[in-house]
Amino acid sequence: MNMDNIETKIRAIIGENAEMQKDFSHIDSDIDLKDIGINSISFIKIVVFIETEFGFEFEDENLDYNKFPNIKSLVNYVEDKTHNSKESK
Amino acid sequence: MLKSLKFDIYKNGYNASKINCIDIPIAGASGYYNYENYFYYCFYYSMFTNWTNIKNDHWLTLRNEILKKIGLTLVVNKINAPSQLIPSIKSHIDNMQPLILIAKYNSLFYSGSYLNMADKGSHGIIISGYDTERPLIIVRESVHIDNDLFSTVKVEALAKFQITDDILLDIWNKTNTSYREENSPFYNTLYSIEKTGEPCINNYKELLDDFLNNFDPNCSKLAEVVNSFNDCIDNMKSYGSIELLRRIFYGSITVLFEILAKAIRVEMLSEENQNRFNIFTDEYKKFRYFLLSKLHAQALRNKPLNITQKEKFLEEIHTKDNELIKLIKEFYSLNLENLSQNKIVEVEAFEKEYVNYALGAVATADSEYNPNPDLHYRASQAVNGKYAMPEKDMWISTDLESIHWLKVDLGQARTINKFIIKHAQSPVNITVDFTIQGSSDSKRWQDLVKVKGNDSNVTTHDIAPSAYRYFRLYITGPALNNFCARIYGFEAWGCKQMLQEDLESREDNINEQQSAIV
Repeated sequence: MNMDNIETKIRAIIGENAEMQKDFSHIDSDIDLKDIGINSISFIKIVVFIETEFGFEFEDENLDYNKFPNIKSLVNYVEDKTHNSKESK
Repeated sequence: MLKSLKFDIYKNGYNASKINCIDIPIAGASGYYNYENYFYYCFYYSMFTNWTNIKNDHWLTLRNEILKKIGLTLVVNKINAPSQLIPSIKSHIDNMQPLILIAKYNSLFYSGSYLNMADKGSHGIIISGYDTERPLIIVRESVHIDNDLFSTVKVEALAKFQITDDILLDIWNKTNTSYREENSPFYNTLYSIEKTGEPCINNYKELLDDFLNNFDPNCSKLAEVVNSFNDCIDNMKSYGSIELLRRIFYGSITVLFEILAKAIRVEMLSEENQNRFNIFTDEYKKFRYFLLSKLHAQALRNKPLNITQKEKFLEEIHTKDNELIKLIKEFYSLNLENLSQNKIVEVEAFEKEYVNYALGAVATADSEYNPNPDLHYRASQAVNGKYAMPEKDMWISTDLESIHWLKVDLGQARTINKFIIKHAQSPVNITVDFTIQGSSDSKRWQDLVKVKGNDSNVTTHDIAPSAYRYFRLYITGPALNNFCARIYGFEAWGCKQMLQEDLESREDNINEQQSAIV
């Protein structure tokens, strides 16, 4: 899966879980998740949605909202995880 | 004219991510009796929701366990018909008792955010006054979400505003229609915060002592949550329940650490120890943050905790709690000297705002011990403000009767918040049983404070502000083994600022009563 696909899916997941109802498909990938209505609780929901979508589990130490300040950081993490799991296969 | 109970808006207080929107108003209203009560309440709320053996089967039980620490109680007033609501509010305000109304969010018309909230939960409102001429009620709000109406007010503040009687009745009716359907304990209930006795906690040192004596890591509620997690996975999925867990086990812990830091005077510790405290606080909170995230994720993943994970968490909770108590004990003993100074600072702050109206007032007594012309223990010596020599600074009665009294005449009515009685030094001569009374005519007396079995050299008594010209110490148990009353000092403290306004409201009140009698 390429980065663009990952990002589109993550944006959709964020859109479903943000308190704020708006279109997340075009917002800046650098924008702080806190500023778009993601809090520590909705972050965990997003994590589990991502896990289901991409078929891996976040490590315990990464269940931390402060480690993923924006969409870009989530995309990089997912890319890394899915890429690594393919390589290991 | 407004009849309003005055207390702080607690701009430096806590928001609903730490303490919920019903307990913040209760904390705020308890602050009417003593400013620090707000913080004492929040501290115990955090302590009792995190570690307790108190059976929390009824909403009221835990609240009253907390309030008992500060000599208060939450009284349930059933309002059987809406027409009783406003008269009941007025009667409590006249008796100087702040009220708590628990309302449904969707009845609180004044905020669009409240009305639109998905969660149709409950919200606490303080009622602190009313207008004697117009149909207006003074309410205070613990604003807890970014709110259209309160956008200019810092969120934590207990913002004060007025609403009409009719609007309050609308809120009441709408709220209670829902509560009736839900079979809620809040149905048709108005809570008043009333004084029941002397506070156990009068300063931060007493708060620390109580914490150190009663903190029990073995009754951790967080450990209970971990233990029962696998049976409650489905419940843990909802936003509401995880929000509640985060508030109690993470948010309110922040409050606990903040108040502990204040009580222990962390700023007086060495730099190294300050760092230790900060690092520990940080690690403690991080662990809890992670644990709650992990539980939430496991619930959403539909995965129970395995035995190893569960035991690891339980052990870490226990270790961290033991470290907490060890650290606080260590800093407590290091700072004991500063903590006593803390008392002095508190007294100084008190004296800036309050004045002892009994100082130099006209004092009389049932009798004065006068064994020879050179030795006369006059009543006036109890209000001379000095505590150096018993012969010059103490009132002693004769021992011909078992009941004695000491009366002060303040010259005019004064609003008093607190009495400080300095008794004899020797344990066998300390006043055992006594009542403090107030009177406007020196004939009919109102009991303000009742004490039985006292054994302290100094007793302090906070009361709901009461305005009288005469105050009397009525002693029914003068000492352990004799009939002589011995009083080194009788102090009646009132707030400097509140004085004028209260006198005016009192005079108006008297005029109103007189015209009503006519």
